[in-house]
Amino acid sequence: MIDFPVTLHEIEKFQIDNRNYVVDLDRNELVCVDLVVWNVLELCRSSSREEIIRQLKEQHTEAEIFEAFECIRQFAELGLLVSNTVRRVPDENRKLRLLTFLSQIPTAQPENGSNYLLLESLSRHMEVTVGLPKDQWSESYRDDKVFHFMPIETDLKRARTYYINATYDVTMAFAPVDFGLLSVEMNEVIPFFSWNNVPTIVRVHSGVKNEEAFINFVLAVYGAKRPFDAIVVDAPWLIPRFQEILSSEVDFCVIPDPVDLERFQPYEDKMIGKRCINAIFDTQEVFQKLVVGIIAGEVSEVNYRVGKFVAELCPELFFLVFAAGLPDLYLNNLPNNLVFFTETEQFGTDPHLLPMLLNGIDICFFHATLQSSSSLLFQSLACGMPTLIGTANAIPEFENACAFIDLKKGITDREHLKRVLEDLKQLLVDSREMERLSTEGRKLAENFSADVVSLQFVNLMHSLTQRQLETQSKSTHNSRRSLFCYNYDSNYGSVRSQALQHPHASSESIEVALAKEFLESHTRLQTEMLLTEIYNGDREKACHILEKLSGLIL
Amino acid sequence: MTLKQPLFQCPKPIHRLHHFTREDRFFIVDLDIGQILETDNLIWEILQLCPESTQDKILETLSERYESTLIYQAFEQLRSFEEMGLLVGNTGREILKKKNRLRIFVAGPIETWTSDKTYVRSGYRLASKEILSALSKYADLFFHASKSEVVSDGVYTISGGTSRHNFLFQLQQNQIDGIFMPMIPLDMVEQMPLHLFSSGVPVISRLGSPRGHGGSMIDSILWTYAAMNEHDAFITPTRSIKDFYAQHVLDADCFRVIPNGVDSDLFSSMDKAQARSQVAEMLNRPKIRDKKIVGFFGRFQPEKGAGIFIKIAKMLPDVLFFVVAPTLHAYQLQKLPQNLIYIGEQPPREMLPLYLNTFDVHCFPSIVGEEAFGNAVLEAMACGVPPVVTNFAGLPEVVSEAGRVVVCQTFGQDIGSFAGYVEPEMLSKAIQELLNDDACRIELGKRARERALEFKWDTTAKKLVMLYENLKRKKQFASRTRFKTSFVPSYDSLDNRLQCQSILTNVTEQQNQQPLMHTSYYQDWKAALALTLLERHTVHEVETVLMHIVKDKYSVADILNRVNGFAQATSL
Repeated sequence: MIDFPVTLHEIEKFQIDNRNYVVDLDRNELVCVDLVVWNVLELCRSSSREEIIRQLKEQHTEAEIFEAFECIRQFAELGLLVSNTVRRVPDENRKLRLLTFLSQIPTAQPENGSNYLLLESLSRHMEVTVGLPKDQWSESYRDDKVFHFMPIETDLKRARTYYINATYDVTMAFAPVDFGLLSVEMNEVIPFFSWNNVPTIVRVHSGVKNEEAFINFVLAVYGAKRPFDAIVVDAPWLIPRFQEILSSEVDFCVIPDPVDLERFQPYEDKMIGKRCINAIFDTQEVFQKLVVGIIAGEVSEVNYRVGKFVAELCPELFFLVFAAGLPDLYLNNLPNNLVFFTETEQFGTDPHLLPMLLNGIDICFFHATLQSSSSLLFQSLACGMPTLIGTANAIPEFENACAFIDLKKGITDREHLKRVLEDLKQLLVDSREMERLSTEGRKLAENFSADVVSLQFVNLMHSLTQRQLETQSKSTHNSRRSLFCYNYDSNYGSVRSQALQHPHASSESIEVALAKEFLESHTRLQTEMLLTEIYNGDREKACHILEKLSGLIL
Repeated sequence: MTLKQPLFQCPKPIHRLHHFTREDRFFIVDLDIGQILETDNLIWEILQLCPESTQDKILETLSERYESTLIYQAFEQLRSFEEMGLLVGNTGREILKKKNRLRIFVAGPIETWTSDKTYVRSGYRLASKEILSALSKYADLFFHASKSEVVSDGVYTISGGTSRHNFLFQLQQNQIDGIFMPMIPLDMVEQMPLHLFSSGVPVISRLGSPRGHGGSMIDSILWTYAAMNEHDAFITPTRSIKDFYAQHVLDADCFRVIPNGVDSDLFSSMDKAQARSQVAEMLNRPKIRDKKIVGFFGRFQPEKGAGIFIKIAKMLPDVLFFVVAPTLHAYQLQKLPQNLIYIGEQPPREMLPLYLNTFDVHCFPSIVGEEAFGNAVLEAMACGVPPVVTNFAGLPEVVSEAGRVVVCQTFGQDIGSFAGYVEPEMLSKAIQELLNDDACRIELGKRARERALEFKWDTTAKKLVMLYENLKRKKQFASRTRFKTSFVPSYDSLDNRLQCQSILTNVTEQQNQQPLMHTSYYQDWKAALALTLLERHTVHEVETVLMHIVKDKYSVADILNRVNGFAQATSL
């Protein structure tokens, strides 16, 4: 795809006998073009694609105009008429312009609080435009003081036209836990990334119900992303999981969600929290026993089994399991020392509810997997809650601030759960350690303030735009494609396939030629996946070819 | 002032020209050739006067404003341009406009047209020339040369640069309807640009030699097969060539059978006795009048069956064996049987019918890989001489019921240029049968003549023109649909492994170049690979890649059918 405006060679245009000629003086070549291309050439030095379409749509159909764009792109490939298209370089003195899509207006309401907090803090450093579905749109949004809002068409097929209109520097998409929202669905990752040359950040949140679907979504994004795009995960423990799946390093960025440090802070009087728990669950046990909070993920069945097991094993402790959406049938016949907190909607109505709840907990166990929301962890750390993290991989970022237990097997393994309980009990009696964890946890959480997190995003965006410019300036399009043809083996009287490189007709393997071609239009990971299939699952061979080619393809 | 005679003569026509200035630079664009020249205003002024004025008049007109030295220099420069085929001269464009005929660019040297066929020894080259001659009655032919000019009625040369772009420009400017490649070169590097740069104009490549040259001809044909578009085609003179390639490629339909012709006016029956008498006198061999004669007509080389012919001669000592060939090659050093007569150096073409008419039987034992049609057989048949041939390549198709076909052994792969072997005894037996049965032989000779009359160069040319029309229509209705495909890793948690999924976008909405949301579909990765490759490669290239991966012809055909059908169904 060619982006406009472009830098043209020195050209001379003239019309004779109803034919339109263009002389490329830089290349000393003459071309004959149709009227649409002629008209586009008039405009393409100074106008964007959208402006060109707008100006020419009276004279030509959109299809004709796009064909003309393609014609000019082909000329560019031949080295004619157009210099390497160079994207507008963001003015260093101007704020970066960010475009994001959300399914509904972000508010400070807690249920989508972290997105709002992030975007609101980003808006202090850049111009933030939020695209909303048209049916969510209201004229009153035009007056919003924080964001620019933009309605997008209900027909989502046209949604991306706004990318054409945009002169944004960066875009951001939020990968939601459930895929019913506007944001990118898995089979639409490719269109999303192919749209234009703007760096894109895909924000990936932990705390998912369907692990496989989530993994495949992230893999699709990872496969599609270009060198100047980024996947930003909110929790460091996501990375080892994907490295294990891909059997290679992954270059995800880790930037947690911002924590509202004013809302989430340690109360001097812990009883406030305990009274809150009492009020919600109507249990006196919360005053009589130490309270253990368990964040084990979003899967109801897992939460239920874990809760039941630990409560029965440790009747001397009171367990509060965070289990959003747990069906009511699970709530029957529970031990007295076990409650499940299922009502996430309540958080939406009362911003202080969750902080109070967290302050009522004496110690927290957090199972660090894809299914556990990191936001809850950081919020509990911000409330000064000593935390034991169960993880299969080390999390150096949290070393000082939390206790750890190795949980290579799943959390539902009973032996492991017994060990978790033992560790918890040991910690509970070690008041100095508890105090230390509380203090360090809060300190760690202060690194996740909105300001700090937004600055991390801003720095990331700057580096991506820089990388995009570098990638653009290096890229050359190899218009010399290979010829895939048969080669006759006279010894056997049969044919085999080969690839011949133009123009010298030197032979190379089909796989190498395919890899070279695909690397021009697809990402490295996509090319690797394809080659692996061609090699019947031998990924090593595929990687070997790509290693050999790296550096040869600019 | 006496004008020193410049070499640039006027008046003369000029090409379609345009001029412009850029800063202090003056440019002239030759629209007929597609070249841009940086020159000066004086050259332009001379060119404006050139069609109507003599050089003296031009000098007179311009000397008021320019020094005569400068004018002379300009004339000199124009002469150089003229030699390069630029700016001045008749490009034939005017003639072109008056006729409403196909315009065919011939991808071969102009010598293919201009060369004298009197002593042409290669059947392939001769056939090329005959086809072009016949084609020129129905289509205008264009050849590339250093200058643009009219060669003869309906035959032109066009000049220009050799860059891909300029080639395309020339095709466009001259409104070329098709490209004809009379011979497929062995050098692939020449090959590939033609199909890639034809810009939608149908390219027809003529196969004269299906095999041979140690397999390198097959490679050239396979390369051409890969590079050709759906609106291109091969022509082959016999079905056997098509069948040979059908073993190796999927799309055998791109091989169209258009037989060669024969000049049945030149090659016709004569009174045999008279012919023999004349030849006997010319060669001073009285025996020629009385003996039965078996003839060899062609290159006297081992792969053409020369050795077999000699063995047959030894088997039949009472029969004369005539060799009509350019030279005996290595056999001239051998002791040849006494009943084998070599007529001497190949006579001019007009004399060949005389020699052929002396034959009672024409023996054609060729098993060379390059054998495609057997022009020599047809020429002898046109003279009423019954042939005895092997069942090699397309010979049985040509001979049909008008001769004797002897079974030969065909090699699976060539040895050098040898693609088979025939037992001399079997040929000898067939020959003897004909020689011993006068009635049968005479009847077969009549049939041979009738059969030969079915092959006309004119018919070949008409079929070629029709093929171009068909291919143009095919191109008109063809559409290249563009799809965006992607290959994503997909994790299977049960097997704990990654696999490749592919996604196709923009299935239903393709006006926009940008991939659109909600038009994405999962599909088999091989089909996705095929669709991706089709953006930049031909269907035949995709076939090649799929054969490498899938290794089964039927599966590949199935994938291509699906992909093609899908592309057709979703094309705009």
